[in-house]
Amino acid sequence: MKINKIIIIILIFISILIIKDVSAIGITPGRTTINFEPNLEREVKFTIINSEHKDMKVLLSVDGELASYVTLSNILIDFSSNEESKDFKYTINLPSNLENPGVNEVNIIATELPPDADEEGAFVGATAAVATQLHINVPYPGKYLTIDLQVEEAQPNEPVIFHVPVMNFGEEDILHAQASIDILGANNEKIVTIESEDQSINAKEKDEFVMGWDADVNSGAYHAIVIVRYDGKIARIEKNFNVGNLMIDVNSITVNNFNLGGIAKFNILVESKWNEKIGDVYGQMLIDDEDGKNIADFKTASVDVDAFAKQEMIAYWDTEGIKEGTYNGKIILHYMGRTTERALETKIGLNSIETSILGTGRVIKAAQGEGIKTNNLLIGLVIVLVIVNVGWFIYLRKKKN
Amino acid sequence: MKNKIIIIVNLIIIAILFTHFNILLEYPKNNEHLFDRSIELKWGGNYDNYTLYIDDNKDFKSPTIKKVTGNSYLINNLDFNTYYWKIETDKMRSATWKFILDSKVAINMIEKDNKIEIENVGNTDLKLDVINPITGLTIVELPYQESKEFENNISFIGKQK
Repeated sequence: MKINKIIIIILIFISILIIKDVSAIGITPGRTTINFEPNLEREVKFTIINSEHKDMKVLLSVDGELASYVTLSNILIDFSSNEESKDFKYTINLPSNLENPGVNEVNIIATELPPDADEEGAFVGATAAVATQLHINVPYPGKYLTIDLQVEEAQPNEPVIFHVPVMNFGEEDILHAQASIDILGANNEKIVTIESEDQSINAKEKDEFVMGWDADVNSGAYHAIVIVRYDGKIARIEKNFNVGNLMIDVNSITVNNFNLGGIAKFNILVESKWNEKIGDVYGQMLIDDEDGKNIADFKTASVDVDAFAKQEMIAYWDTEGIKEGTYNGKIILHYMGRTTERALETKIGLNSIETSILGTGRVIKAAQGEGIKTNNLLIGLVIVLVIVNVGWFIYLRKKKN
Repeated sequence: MKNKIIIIVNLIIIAILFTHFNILLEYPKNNEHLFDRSIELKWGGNYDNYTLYIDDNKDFKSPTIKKVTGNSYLINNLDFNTYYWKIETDKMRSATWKFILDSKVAINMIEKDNKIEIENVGNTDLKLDVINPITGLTIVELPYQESKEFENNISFIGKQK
């Protein structure tokens, strides 16, 4: 035991010796996006973060094809250990015209200088730097639509909401744009197509299509293909989304041909409620004695469970030294980084084991009557106070007259 | 004296009405800058059911709408953007507040055992410019909260992916 402690102390000491130096630097925001306008002048703020709270020098520089249009307010910055962050700004002075349509990137780079850097910032060795990016969107000639897809997932028989943000990067207005979404199942079969209203999108402006689908399907993974048709052109994006929660449940647990003191073979029947095959599923059974002390912890082998299929899993438990009686416990199914847990009651006899699955683990919603009662009480109180107030007012007026 | 009592009673009535029936947004504060991509929106009010509206457009052109029981709602994996939000019941409507979710590019460079480990300690996936004086520039992806090991005497520039 003592030797172990000494080894740990030595290892910690060695690791401290090995770790020579830590450089740490941060910058926010990581990106600022602007739309190109001829002769645009703008100031952009950013913050450099001294996350290690140490004395350090930071060198600022600008990189990118459009770097000449960006001017820094500072070049060399000193941080002291008590300064967590400092705010700075750069100025953009854009020309009347830019040649390359699309996203033009400029990087404002903050480099942490090594302690041995000289006055001009020259040094030899490794350096850490971070950049805040300036994205300048230069419009395309004509009409040019970029699209994205965000999905608000839902449970079966609830509405799934699709948000399709669009941006007209073109120089011309789009007169007619319409989005359609093909929803595909696990085997790429088309389930439904939903379509949006027709709408116009002005040049250099953002908009969004919002479309709903009542997911009258089983839980599972689905695929959405979005196509936006605009004035004879097409933009397309695809994305997977889920309906419901990935779920495998325990249907039954049985033990046959058992003798107390011997090996019990547990047949655990599980059922997938998901529309795709789930691999590497295993179960873990835990049994406690009447004092809550764990007396058994054993696992099944891993199995694959097909979509919506039932699958048997086998686990073995050596019952040597176990007495007859009723024991509490639980079974935990492990799959895809998730777990399903069910409470168990296990009755162990001389020649039998009976395991009951307790509860379903559903979330029970709290009753909501109390809030209504409180509301009524407060409304009544307010009415009484208003009557008293008005009464006083009338009484005082009469007395004055 | 009686006038003072009347004023106090009036103030009590107004305070009860204001605190009980109004919906006051609490968190995030209006115009607050945040870095955590999971945000629990919080508000005050004495209703059982609320409707939350959140949008990146101040006119709520295409909001995300959530029916909420309780006075908070957790949103995960928000994109970096400016968001507007408000709460409504069938009787009342809150003010509209705004919060800004900023990206933060941050790296730790740890020199150990003649190697360099770069940790992504910001809140976004990075593309890392790895500048080797001999082999030149390579670009490596460094996901959020992950780290990678490199040869020594190399310079690194972390950029938002």
